[in-house]
Amino acid sequence: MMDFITVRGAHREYQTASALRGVDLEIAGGVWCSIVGPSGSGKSTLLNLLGGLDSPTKGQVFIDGVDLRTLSENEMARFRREKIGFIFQQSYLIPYLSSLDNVMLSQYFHSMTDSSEAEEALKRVGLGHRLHHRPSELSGGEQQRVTVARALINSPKILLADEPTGNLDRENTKLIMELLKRLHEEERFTIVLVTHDPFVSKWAERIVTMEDGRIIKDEPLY
Amino acid sequence: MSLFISEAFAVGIKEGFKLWLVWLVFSSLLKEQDRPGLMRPFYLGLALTSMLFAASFLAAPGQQARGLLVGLTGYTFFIFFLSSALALYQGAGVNLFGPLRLTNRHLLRAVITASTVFYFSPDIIGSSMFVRDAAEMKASYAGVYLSAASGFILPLIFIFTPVQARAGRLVSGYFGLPQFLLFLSVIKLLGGGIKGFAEFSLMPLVQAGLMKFFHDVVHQTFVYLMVPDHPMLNTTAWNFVGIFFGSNISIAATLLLLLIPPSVFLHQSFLAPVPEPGGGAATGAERRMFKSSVVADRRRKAVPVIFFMAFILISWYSGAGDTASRLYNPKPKPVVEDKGQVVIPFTDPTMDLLDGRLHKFSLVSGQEAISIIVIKKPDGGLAVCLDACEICSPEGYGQTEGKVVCIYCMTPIPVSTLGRPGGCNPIPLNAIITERDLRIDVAEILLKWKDVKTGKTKGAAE
Amino acid sequence: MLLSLLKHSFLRQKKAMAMMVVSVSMGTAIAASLIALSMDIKGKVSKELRSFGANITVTPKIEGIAGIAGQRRYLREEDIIRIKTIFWRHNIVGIAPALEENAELSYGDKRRKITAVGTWFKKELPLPGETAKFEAGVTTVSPWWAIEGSPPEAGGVVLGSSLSRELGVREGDEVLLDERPFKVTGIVETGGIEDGRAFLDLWDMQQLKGLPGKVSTISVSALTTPMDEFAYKDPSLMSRKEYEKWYCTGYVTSIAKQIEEVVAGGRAKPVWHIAETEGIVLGRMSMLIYLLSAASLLASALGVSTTMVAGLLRRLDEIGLMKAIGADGIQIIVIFLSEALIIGTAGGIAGYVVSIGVAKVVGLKVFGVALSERALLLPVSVAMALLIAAIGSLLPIRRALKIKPAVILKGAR
Repeated sequence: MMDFITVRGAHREYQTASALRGVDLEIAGGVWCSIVGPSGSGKSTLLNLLGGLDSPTKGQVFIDGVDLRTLSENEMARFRREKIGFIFQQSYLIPYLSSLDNVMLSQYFHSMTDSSEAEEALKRVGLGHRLHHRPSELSGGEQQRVTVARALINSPKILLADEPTGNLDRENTKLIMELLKRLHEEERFTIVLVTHDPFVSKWAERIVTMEDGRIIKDEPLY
Repeated sequence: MSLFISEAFAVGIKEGFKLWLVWLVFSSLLKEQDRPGLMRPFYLGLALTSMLFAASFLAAPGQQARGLLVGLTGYTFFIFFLSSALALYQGAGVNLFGPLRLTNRHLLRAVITASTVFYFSPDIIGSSMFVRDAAEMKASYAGVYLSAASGFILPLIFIFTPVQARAGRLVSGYFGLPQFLLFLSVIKLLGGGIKGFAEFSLMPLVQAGLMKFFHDVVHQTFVYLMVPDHPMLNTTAWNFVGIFFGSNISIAATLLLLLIPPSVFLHQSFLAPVPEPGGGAATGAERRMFKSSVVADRRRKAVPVIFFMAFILISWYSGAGDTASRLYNPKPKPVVEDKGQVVIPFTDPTMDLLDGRLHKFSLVSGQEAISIIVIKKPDGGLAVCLDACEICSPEGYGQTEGKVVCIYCMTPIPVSTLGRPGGCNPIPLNAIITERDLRIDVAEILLKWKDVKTGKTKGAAE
Repeated sequence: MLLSLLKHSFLRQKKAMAMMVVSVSMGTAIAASLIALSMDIKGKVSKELRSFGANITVTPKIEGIAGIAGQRRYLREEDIIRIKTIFWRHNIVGIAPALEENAELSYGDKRRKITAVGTWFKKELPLPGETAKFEAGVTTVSPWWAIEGSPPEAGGVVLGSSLSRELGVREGDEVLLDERPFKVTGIVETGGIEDGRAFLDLWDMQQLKGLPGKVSTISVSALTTPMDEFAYKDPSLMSRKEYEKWYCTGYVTSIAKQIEEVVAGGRAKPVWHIAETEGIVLGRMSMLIYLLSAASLLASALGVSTTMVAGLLRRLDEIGLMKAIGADGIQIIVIFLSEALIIGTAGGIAGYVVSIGVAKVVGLKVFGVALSERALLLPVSVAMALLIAAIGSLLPIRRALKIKPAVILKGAR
């Protein structure tokens, strides 16, 4: 049986440099996997391939049995909103919408809005008192928690996180990681988390280390 | 190209296009519902229609059959519209159809075949009669028939091209049974006329029919409510009632009549509560997905309904002008002989003889009804004439702004010259005008009417 | 959600949105007032053509040696009333005879070679065999003639407006016509060649020129059945049934034919070609108007487009993010088109309001009549405005669709 995520011989070349030079990776469903490595090692590029934000110049990416190359742009968008949740390094919220509206925007693109469900999701990440605040009125940690709520609102099968705690202090980082752990245990979605922070990477069940566009180490923690 | 030939071509295209459109939507509807077998009764209906068409073409029916057909086209519209309205109500959750559900397969097939014949044959036969007339006027049968036939075939070519499949995919998903029935009635309304360019659509006919219906309903209601001798029933009251007979109100009311069913449907489509998914969908996302698919389907199905409503509104609006400028041709009011005279009072509860409008009266003599017109002239006098002239067939006169028009040859006649003999003017009658009524000797009427008839027979024998 | 997005979008770019609404409303206003103008002019002209004016003229037949020698022929005045005896007599609503001759007009020391016309302005004719009288004269065939003063009686003359201006003649002055004195009783203005002519009573003219009982043309205004294809058929080729119908139908051709039969030496011709040429001119004019409308609509569509693109460039990140969290092309298009819808509706209504004023002013300035407002133009304006807004947002939408969701991500470019 094919694993939930399968990457086969993925290359990604840019005009001046190549970011990925033949990556093979399999991740089983429900697993929390960290990808670590120095900057420029190609870990973010790999994550973008998994999220369909970028496509490999060579090789294939399968997610849940679907070859991402076969999807048109609109099918890809649909795939993203139904299967994938994103958390980025910067919170990337729409600045003029309240936290509730930001979560509901994701619902809107997915199917239709449901404010009580969105409120519930924000309460789960501990922001029940911040529903109608704009991103600029929230702290960095709170913003990132809104992002978590938004990423998980459509019950995705994979959560892709790119340096989710890159801009946070240790205390907030810990808060976010505990939150992710709790939600992961409740819903058992697959997590692929890119980081260079060993404190963050060790929350995972498996750590993949990259360097120079290749995987150099792949170790399970449990 | 001669006008007759191009007109025949246009009539052909219209019929062909109608057939193609219905074929397209029906076949894609069946594909959507996965019942392609029901195309067969449709084809059977078409075959029967073409047999009827061939028979009528060989038999060359006369004027009477034509009148019947014109009526029939009007009724087909109403029947399809009515059933679409019922189906729309059904779709909106109002259960009117429950006991009428067609569960029997054979019955369903029979209904499809019969509806097909009923839908297409009046138009096709009527249009072919029109084409025949055109051919006779032109005296070039081959050219006219050929252009009509080629016009008919032209849109049908689509059936064998990829256009059919692509268009079919485009419309599927937008049509349920109610939408299809509504579509049929709108097609009928817009293209059901069988008088060539003069009456391309059924709009004027339907408008006139609906307005007459409305008029009669209002009239009967008031007649029923008010006993004629009641003192309350003076002219003023009737004038007030007359507002309801005004064409603006009638047009609005009939439009309302047509637009209510689709409006109810739309109201339901957009405002009815969305059902929750059954079987306990696990996550909120799944729940929302189910509900949004229901909403999306409702919206898609509402698109044709909105589209048709807009169509009806627009064509009603543009057609209303036509009706207003059409001839005012009142229904003759029966009068009876009284001591050798016909007495017509100037005012009675239902009319005011001196209002400047054309008034018609009919006197029954033996087998015939003799029609008399009365109108107030600009100089204040009353013109009293037979509703016929010396030459034309006695189809009578109608009225438009400031003129009286011969219905047969559409010749306008200045109202001020009415009452004078000659030309295309109606034949004047000698009337005794008293203070409150006018009296005509029946002998005079019968004599002049006899002249009309003998004049006509003489003309035909020449 | 969509409403909330739109609300914020409008609130955050008030200036740009206002600009777009103004741009749309200007284009719509110009187009709508042009269309109102063209509709009104067409309506006015065709109505006048339809309801007034002579539609048949009777002139002397020119034939044989007289035609070659160029000798003038005349109709007889006594035949005029016979026109009211034909089968279609009731449909003849106006008759005016004319005797046109060259003459020399002088006032003080100014002299002019002009065309003098003897006619009836208003004259009651007894009808043969009837007690009622028939009113004939110029006023019955050309009701639009504006006469200042009174119609000429015996010994009087009415001058065309440009002629009177040229000579400085006023009502009440005395002029010489072929050396005979006439009193100017009025000035006539028609906007046509009549403005350069002098009009006197038919009898005076006949005396002046020594042509008693003669007229050169008769204009007839008849109420007719509109011409259809049947009317253009050649009566001599018709079947008996058809001929009967043709005969019983008041086409201008059949009426003209019967007039010809009663006016000795006359040839009666329908004058529809005048209407036809006017129709061509009108057609060209409305073509021009439509082109101008299209140009102004296009210009404001461009305005919308540039403003929207500028706004889009500031929202690149936002759209990238929306795509990253799963918005597909259609959803992005819906957002932009909804904006265009609001801009278009607002601009269309504003444009319609402006166009009412513009059409009034322009109508008064250019054509001397206030154009009537038309409720029909409101939906038309809104439709045009929506079209502009939709066309204007075409380019921005294309740009927005091209945005890659990865633009917001670090490391990807």
